Amino acid sequence: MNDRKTDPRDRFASLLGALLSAWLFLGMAPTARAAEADAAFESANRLLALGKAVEASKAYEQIGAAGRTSPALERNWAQACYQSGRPGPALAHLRRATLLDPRDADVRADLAVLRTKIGNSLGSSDDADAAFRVLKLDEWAWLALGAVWIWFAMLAAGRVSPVAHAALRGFTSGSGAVAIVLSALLFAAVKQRAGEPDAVVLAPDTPVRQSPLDEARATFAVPAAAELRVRDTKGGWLMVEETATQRFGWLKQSEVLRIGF
Amino acid sequence: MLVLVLVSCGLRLVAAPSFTARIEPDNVAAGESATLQLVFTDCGRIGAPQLPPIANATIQFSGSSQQYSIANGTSSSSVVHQYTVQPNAAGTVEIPGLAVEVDGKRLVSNPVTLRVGKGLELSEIGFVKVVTPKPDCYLGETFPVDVKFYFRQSPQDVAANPVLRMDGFTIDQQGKRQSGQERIGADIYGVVTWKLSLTPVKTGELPLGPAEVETIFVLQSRNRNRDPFARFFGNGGEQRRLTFASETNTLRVMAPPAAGRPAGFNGAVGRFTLDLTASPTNVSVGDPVTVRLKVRGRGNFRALRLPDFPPGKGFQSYAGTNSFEPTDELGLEGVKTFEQVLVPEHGDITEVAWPPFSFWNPDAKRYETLDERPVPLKVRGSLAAQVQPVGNIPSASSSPAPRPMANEFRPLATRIGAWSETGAPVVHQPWFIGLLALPPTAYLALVVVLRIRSRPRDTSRTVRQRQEQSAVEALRTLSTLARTGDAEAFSAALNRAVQERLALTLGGPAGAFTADVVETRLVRDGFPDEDAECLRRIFAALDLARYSRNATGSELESLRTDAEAVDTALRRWEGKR
Repeated sequence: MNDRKTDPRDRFASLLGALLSAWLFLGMAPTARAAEADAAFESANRLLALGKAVEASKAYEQIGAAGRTSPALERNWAQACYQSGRPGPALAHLRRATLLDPRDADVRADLAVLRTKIGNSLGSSDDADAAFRVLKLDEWAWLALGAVWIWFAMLAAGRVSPVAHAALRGFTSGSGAVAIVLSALLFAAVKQRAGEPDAVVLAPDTPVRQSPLDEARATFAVPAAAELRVRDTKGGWLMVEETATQRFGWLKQSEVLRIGF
Repeated sequence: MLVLVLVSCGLRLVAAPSFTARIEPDNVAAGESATLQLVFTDCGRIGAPQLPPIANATIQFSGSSQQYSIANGTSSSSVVHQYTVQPNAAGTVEIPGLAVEVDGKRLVSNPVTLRVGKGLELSEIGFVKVVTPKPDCYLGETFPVDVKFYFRQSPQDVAANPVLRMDGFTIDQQGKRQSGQERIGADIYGVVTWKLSLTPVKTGELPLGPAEVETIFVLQSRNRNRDPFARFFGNGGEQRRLTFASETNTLRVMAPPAAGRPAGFNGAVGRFTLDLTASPTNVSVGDPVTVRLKVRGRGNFRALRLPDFPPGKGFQSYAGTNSFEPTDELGLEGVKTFEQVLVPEHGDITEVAWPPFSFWNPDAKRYETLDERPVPLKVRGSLAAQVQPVGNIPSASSSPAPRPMANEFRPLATRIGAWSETGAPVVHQPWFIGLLALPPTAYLALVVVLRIRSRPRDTSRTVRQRQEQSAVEALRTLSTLARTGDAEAFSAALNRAVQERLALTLGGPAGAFTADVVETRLVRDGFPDEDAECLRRIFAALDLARYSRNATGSELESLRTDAEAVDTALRRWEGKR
């Protein structure tokens, strides 16, 4: 019977093998998916280069249907939409790309070009707004969170040990100031994001109605690719604000494309 | 008493049995019914007799009732059997005398006659007309049709829509029902009008109609008029469902002539104008240009199509869209807008033109062709610059990529780059709020726990902390005081440093220790001799300083060294203990 006992070294080797297999399996699956996505992306790019903008747009849509996206995908998708005569979706995709990577120079340049082409002057923001776009909202959030954690860790250490309290006094004050500043910046970035238009009109001369009813009177009309701020929702209707004129009204959800994810 | 006897005797007086028949009303119109009652008086309980077949009527038993009465001291009981008499045609319904046997006696009823007049004349109530603008039209020509229901007496209800029977027409649109009044001759009629637009789909003599309108009228009925309660409550009429039908019209439908038919004619019939615009007109190769064609006028907009944009004109075209904005209720007039995206393929393009649009004008009875002037375009750049393959490695001989113009998009991204999960920003996630709130919460919890734990030892802990702080600070100031030669301040600081350290090591209040403590507390318990000697020197110097405040810098420096050594030794000794 003793001969049948497993050697501890063998058990360790088995365990190591299982862990290695699991790591390989879990590691290889995303790599394979990424390779598929790269191939599909290149194929869509080729369609767009050949002038098949509608087909390219559908191909980009299929890539993004998995619930993930990237600034490059959104930027190319925007060009496909624009070349197939749909400036509204093009603008929405470029706005999404800026949300994903506000420091991407290509995305910002394309956004400026598109706005010039469609005559949409919205988005020409001041320096303060531009400063907030140095970082993504998520990056502001993680920075502020880290600073808050460090500050309170130092405060806690000082509480536990008088020696640490004396030694870390300067660091504690400094980290506290940084945490407060970063939290204020995060709050300002959230507020700035909340004030940005977050819907793009799809069709030209889309009527904006007085109430969320088909029979309601249209108070004004908005052009294709107009950027609007969504203030409320009801059923399949959105209450939108034209930020430039501060006019409010209702239009159907299907008449706009939401920019946020 | 006599009266009661007479009354009781009188009540026992019973009339002879009888059998009578009566009909109400005895005069009805065709389609109306009457009620036949067979009354058996003082015949006891008797069932409903079976009636013989009656000419020109259908008779059905509808129920029985029983009545008791006292009249002039005579009591009687009656059984009444009722029958519904429905005449089949105008004329009379004769119900002969009926014979029954009651207690061995043969009773015969009186014969009754029901006179049946002519039925209701619908034309006296109202009529329907189908009105068309002209007796002939062309294939594919949309024209309005009015279905009108005229009435003298207001109906209680009129169907929402008429039923228009037709062959070879399609209904394009139906307008809202309108009500009003019209004078015909000397009479004023109420009118309900339904407007429709129809389009013929085949040629020939096509029937249009009849149009049927279903209504509900309340008509005065002879049956109900006799009911005093119905008259009192205003229900003196009978509700009748009446259907009115128009005559059948015939329309001659012709096809537009083959002679002179333009090559691009695709069946459009009406009167139209065309307006061609394009935007933007200053573009680069590959930029989309939206071309809009607005067709205004009157005609069959539903089937209106424009000729397709022909290939090979230097544009890549995409499927277009169209929309129609009617300016009248039936959609006969309005504006139909066609939009199509064209992408210029090279920079030699100077204009965009649309093929001519031809239609048949049924009023002028001729073909007309609209050929709009081309819209000038300014196209910049070359196709190669726009559609160069993406992702290929440029060959060494290839020319450098042209620098993008200020109003052109950057080249396509060739790599998909880092993925980002699509979702709300973390700052809107509940778990992030939790992470943000965790440090202050944990810190507050820590503060509370420390306070609770340190509460019993609060005094001694605070005193020790203060003594430790005082000893360290006093020791730190000694070197400065030794350099400046301030012997008095030096002595005070030295005394504080030693006393506080001894208090921390041995317990007890600072300031209560003298040189005796070296022998009695320290050396006895194993304090090193060398350090004890230093402490003795310090106590001696402190004693001396009380009487002579003069000391040299080197003496003070020596004492500071002793003090530091003693401080370190006492800490170490305390740790060992």
